[in-house]
Amino acid sequence: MSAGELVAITSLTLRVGLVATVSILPAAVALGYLLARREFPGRSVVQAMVALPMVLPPVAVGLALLLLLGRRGPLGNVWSLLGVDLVFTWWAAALAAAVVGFPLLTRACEQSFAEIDTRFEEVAVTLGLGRMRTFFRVTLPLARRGVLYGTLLAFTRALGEFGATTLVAGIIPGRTETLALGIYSRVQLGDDAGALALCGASFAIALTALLVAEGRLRRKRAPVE
Amino acid sequence: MSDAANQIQLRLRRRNFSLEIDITWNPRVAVIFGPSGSGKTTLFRAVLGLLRSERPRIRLGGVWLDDPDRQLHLPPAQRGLGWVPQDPTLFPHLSVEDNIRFGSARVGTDSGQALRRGIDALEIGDLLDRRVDQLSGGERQRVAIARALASGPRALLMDEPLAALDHPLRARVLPYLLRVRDQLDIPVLYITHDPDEALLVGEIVIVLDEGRVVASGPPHEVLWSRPVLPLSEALGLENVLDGRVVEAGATGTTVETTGGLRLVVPVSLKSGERVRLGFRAQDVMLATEPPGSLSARNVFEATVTECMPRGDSAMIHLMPSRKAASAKGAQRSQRQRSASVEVGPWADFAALSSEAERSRAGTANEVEERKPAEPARSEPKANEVEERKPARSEPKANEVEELVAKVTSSAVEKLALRSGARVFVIIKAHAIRRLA
Repeated sequence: MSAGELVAITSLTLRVGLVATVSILPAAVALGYLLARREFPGRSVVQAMVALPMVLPPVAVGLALLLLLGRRGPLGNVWSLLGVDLVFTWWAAALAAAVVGFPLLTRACEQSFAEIDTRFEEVAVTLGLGRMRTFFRVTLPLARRGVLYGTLLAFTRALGEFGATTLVAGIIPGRTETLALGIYSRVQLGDDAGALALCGASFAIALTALLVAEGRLRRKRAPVE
Repeated sequence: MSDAANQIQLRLRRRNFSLEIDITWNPRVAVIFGPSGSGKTTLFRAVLGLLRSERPRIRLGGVWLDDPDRQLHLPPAQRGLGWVPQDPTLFPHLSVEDNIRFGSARVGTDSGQALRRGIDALEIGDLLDRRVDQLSGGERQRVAIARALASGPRALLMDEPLAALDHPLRARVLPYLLRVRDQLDIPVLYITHDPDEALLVGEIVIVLDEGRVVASGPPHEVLWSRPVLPLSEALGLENVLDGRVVEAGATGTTVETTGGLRLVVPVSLKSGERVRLGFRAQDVMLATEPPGSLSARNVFEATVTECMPRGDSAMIHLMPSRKAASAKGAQRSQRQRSASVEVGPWADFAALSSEAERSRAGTANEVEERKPAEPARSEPKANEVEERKPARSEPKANEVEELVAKVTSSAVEKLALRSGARVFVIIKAHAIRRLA
């Protein structure tokens, strides 16, 4: 395996992971906040739906996505009308990663919002802040550790996504082949050295992500009594 | 409708609790006083708009926050109230300065000035760069007050600002509180369950119990009035008697109470002076025989009118005998009871209040009682508080004061403290305090 190949696969993996994580972040934060703070009808149904991709076999998630997004799927028409062919592109890989990462991030957000004493928000409101500004100046900063932790979880989960990705994105060298998929296909082909090189890259990315997050968490740890 | 500067009228129902407030008042600094669970903090939250209440009608410092007639209900962010919660609740992710500046945006151009004033008054200029977790408890409380002030509030709402502090610290923070109170010209609402604090801080005290206003008026009058006395347990001076000095001698001052009891007190006073006296329960002793060997001062014969058990203690209501100014004349009646002198039941509580107090509350209107159970007593708008000086009538010579004391239940048995039993009441002279 050439160095260029290794770099390409690694950068594709990072791109998939980043796109997946960043795209689900706003929705996961919002949903996590709603689940933590609001009582609404169907709340537990929503909670179950959110958790579903976490407990289903990833391959099943992949199949569901494929049926949903494929040419003959209910959403396939929408995509083809828009001129986008999602399936078997790296966007599909990102989508698969997003779907399996979403529950992790939402859960982490929900938990960290639930832990915040609502009196901080009440004080902010009485000091004249509207709901949105209170959220961005008080709630979110106080929840940042949990949100950051959830983001890390979702990101690393995206990096290692395999089951769902193989079905919706396939293993197309140079187009949808991420590190996890690359390792699998190289082992299948008997290219042990290549597989090990990709393993090393995965290891390096994961370790870096953990160290960066850990450092940030420690530095910005909220002094909570 | 009343034109008082401040009005709170609201109803709020929860599963195990209901709050029904209807009160107007004029003095700027009001203390909301009551035992825990009486609804003080709930009232604050309703005033702040954080809790929804039924048809709230709220006006502070002449400014309407809620007026159902005009469909006016300001949201919490627009009420412009400075709230100091019970626990300072400083934002842990911000520095002290950023905490204080947090609400200053709404003050607009005057924000710098408001900020400075608060920082100066509370002497927290040196703390501005600190992180919140580097502050002591007293400093946190001061920062929380400064933060509320810096938002340029229409009124300041302080919820037991000293409760989280230990006693020496309270003494250190209190002067700042009083300074802030005096420098402001906005209404101040101050919650406390400590009668000493209520007395010190308030121009008017509004007493809450079980979600209702049970009394309101000038602190000195209200805190020792009949409906409030049981709530004042924390102070330990529930025993209050009015009287005047009849003898000012070298051995002590003798005060004759409105009920005709002669008490020797350890305070030096001028003859003829009017005083209000208070003393703690553990300093009230009961005995079945006249305590001959003890000093005979402050000994009265009395009849038990009621004995109300309360756990391992009991409330003993006593009616002093009319002519009993000392133990001397009362020795014969107790001989048939074989019990020896018991100087025992000095539990930590005894309430003593007078018939005179009760009748004044009803007639002279110094303190307006509002008990939902006795609707006949309260006028519809009975909570208009007037700070008139009590026009105390000359007490009748032999008016009898009812005493209420709390004793241990073992003492109840030993002394046979049943209704109708006759006992000797001994009040330790050195324990009597002058209140006003």
